This record gives sequence, C-alpha cells and structure tokens, in this order.
Amino acid sequence: MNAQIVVDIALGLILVGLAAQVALGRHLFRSIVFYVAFGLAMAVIWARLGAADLALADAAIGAGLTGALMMVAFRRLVGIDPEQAQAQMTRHSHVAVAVAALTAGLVATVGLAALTMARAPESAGMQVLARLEETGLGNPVTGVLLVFRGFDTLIEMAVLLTAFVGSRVMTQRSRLNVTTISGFELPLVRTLVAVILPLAVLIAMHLLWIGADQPGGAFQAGAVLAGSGVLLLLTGTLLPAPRSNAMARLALVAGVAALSLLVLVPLSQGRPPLAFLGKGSLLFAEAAMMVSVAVSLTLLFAGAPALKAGRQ
Amino acid sequence: MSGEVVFVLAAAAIFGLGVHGLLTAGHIMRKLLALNLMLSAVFLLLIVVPARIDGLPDPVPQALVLTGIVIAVSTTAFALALMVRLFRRQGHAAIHPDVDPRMLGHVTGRTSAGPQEEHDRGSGSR
Amino acid sequence: MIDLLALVMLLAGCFFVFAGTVGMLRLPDVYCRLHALTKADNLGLLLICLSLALLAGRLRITLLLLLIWLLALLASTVSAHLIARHSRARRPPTGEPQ
Repeated sequence: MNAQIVVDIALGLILVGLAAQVALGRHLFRSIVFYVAFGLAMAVIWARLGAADLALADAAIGAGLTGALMMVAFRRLVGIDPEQAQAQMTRHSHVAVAVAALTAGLVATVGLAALTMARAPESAGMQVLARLEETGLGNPVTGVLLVFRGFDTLIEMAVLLTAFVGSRVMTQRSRLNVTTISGFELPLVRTLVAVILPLAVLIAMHLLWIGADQPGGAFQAGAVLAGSGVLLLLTGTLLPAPRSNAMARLALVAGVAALSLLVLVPLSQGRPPLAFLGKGSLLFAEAAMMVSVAVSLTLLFAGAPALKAGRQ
Repeated sequence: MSGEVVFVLAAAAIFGLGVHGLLTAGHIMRKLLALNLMLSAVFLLLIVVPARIDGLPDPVPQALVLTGIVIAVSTTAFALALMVRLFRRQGHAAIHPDVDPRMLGHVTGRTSAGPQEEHDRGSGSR
Repeated sequence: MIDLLALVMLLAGCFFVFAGTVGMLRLPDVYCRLHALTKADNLGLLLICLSLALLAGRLRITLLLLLIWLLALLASTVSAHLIARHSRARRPPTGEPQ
C-alpha cells in the first residue's frame, strides 16, 4: 500500500509537471510536444486506475491524433507567416494567477468533498453491471456506449461529422496542404509502412472484435486506423484529393447512419427506440463507427475532402 | 492519504493551469492547449471521484469520458481549422480585441532575443 | 531466483532509459542526442520487456512483449534516421558543440 501511494504521487507530479510545461512554456511547438507527453502520462494514469478502455483511447486519440492535428495546424501557420505563427503574445497578469489559484482551490475542495461524501448504495454503474448479461456483452463500457446510453453515442458521431463538415467549410477555398515529411521517399520509410500498416489493421480489427468483452472497441480501433492513415499521409502513400467522392462520404456518415438504424429499427417493430437487437447489430454498428472515426480523423489531418493513392 | 486524494489534487492543479493558460495566452493554439488540459482534469475527476465497483472504475463515467475524448478531438480539429482561416485573414493568431498587430511585432521582437528561440525558429525565418 | 533475475534486469533497464533521457536533455547537439536516445533507450526497453516476460512466464505474453520491442525498435530506427537526415540538410555537423 505504501509503495502504491508513492507511485501515485510520482504519477500525479509527472502529470502536473507536464501540464505546467504545456500551459506556461514559452515556445508553442514545445508546448505541443509536451501536450503529447501529457496525453501519454494520462494514459498511464488510466491504466493505473484500471480504466483500460480510456488508456487505449487517450494514448491513441488524446496524445497521438490531437498532437498530430496540432502539429499539422502549426505547420500550416508557419507556412503562412513563420514570424507571427510563433509570436509569444502571452500576457502575464496577477489577476489571472489569482483566478487560476482560486479555481484550482475550488476544484480541489469540491473533489475532496465528493470523495468523503457517503456514497449512494445503488449507483448507475451497478445497475449497468446487474443488467449487462441481458446484452450478451462482457465489457460494461461497451454496454453503456451502445445499449444503455446509445443516444449519447449517436450524438457523439453526429458531433464528429459536424466538426468535419465545419472544418471543410473553413478550409474549402484554401489549396491542399502538403502533409508529407521530408525523406518520405527513402526505402527505409517504405519498409516502415510495409511493416506497420498490416499490423495496425490487424490490431484495429482485434480491438474491434474483443471490444464486446474486453477493453477495446470502435473508438480505439478507429483511432488506430486513423493513426495509420496519418502515417500513410506523412509518407506520401496517400495524398489529399481536391474533390470528395462517394466512398469518402459514405465512410463519413457510416457511424451516424448505423446508430440511427439501431434507433429506428426497433421503432418500426413497435418497440421502444434503441431496444436491444442482438449482439450482431452491435458489432455492425461498431464497425461502421470505426470506419467513420478513422476516416473523419484522417481527413481532418489531411485538411482535404477525400484521399487518393500516392506513389506505390 | 489515498491514491484518489492525490489524483483529485493533481486534477485541481491541472485545471488551474488550464485556466491560467486560457486567460493569459494570446495565441489561439495556446488557448486550445489550455482548454484540452482543463478537459483532461475534468475527465480525471469524473473517473476518480465515483465509487469503484469491484476494484474497477464505474463503467458509466468511463463511457462518458470515452465519449468526451472523441468530442474533444473533434472540436479541437474544428477550432484549429477556424484558427488557420483566421490567421490567413488577419495575419496573426490572436483573438484579443485589445491586441494591436503592431504591438505583436514588438512582443515578438522582444521574446525572439533568447538563444533558444533563435535555435528553434527553424528554416522558415532564415 | 527468477524473480531476482527479473528485478536486476528491470533495474538495469530503468538505468538505461534514465541514462538515455539524461543524454537527450544534456548532450549538446541533435546527433549526440539521437545517439543517446536510440541506443540507450532501446536496450533499456529490451531489458524491461525481458524482465516482464520472465515475471509473466507465459509464451503468449513473451511474444507480445517481443513484438512491442521490435515495433519500438523499428519506429526509433526510422525516426532517428529521418531526424538526422533532416538536421544534416539544414545544418551539417561541424564536430564542435554548438
């Protein structure tokens, strides 16, 4: 128990230290790199807390993809005006320090008070666990996402689609950006792609398949695929395409469409919306969500409406 | 003192750092980083505070946080697209109404004097 | 006995990772830093993976850990090569600390 608390304190200090580097660092690019490290430390803390689903998601999405999106946006700014892109523009103010300290104190007070409060005997989580067997799923988080709070997940996919459409509207007129790294044509890099890509697809399918019973699922699998999409863009295997096509559009709306079906099909049978249709329907919805998450995030990174094959 | 207390305190500190960054940063990307820090602090609280069931975190907040992580990356990507557009239009990445672009040049000039700043600036400015 | 061996390897692995990190933070230029990072860290990771495999004592986990190490090795090889290449194109090595 004593060793455990030492590890916890060390993890907490690392996390706060990285957050301080992100928030107070003088260099924007440095802050972005520290943000990626912060995401990875967060993933370690999720693992320590026993939230393996979140560890997978935060390592892939929170650290990997958010960091990649920030870096590519930063590179776009530097491409337009390197001087202004890195302008410091931070103003030191005592009021801000005081407000931040007060907020932190408030959050700590509320959090600690909530920790010491008497717990309700019957929490939502216990009800989920009690009724999980009806769904045939072994992973309660997947159960909550797809069965008990399926509407939330539908709206979530809609938010992802809306964010993509909004980004397209914003960048519609600008020309396509180069996303390839220097040296992408080297044989070494080709070998990397040839090894990583099949493995990443395998890992994504594995995560999707075991998501029903173990940590994993559509978001984690989609994030792994989006990560390989970013790799393919960086190495020029895939290139941004100027015009959208039917495949890209279908992939973008697949998640929303599949979840809408989960809502509508029971209604047509005279049952309440989102009534449980069986495990197969959940796997179908998860596969569609995986495709949507992967394609949306890859296209957001590319800043393009579709992708085309690059060099072989 | 238990692990939960440590993580609640860490979340509070990260939230405070995020608030400070959000208030003082002029660069939109810094504001976004600060917002993402605040989000992570909220996620941490959501997982740590509820009672654990059989030694594992409550599945309902876990699902909420998983949803939150995906929403956070979507909104961040949208905000970044907005920022690039704004940067193209106005030539700098600040949204303070009281920040004068001429003054930004002054601030840049002052901060770029440091040796590390020179080192990291990259090929663009040379 | 196996536990003791695993412990020694774990500590040695931690030492190499720590040395690699110190090297990255303290060494003067990009090439020296890459040198410290790739060599020390990969050895450290291998030692940590081996000690975990010994502790787990199952073939499946051992193979998975080996796969993790190989992937990390591949990624660090390619990224180190690209960083060094990019750095050389921008500012050729002088042999003197910068």
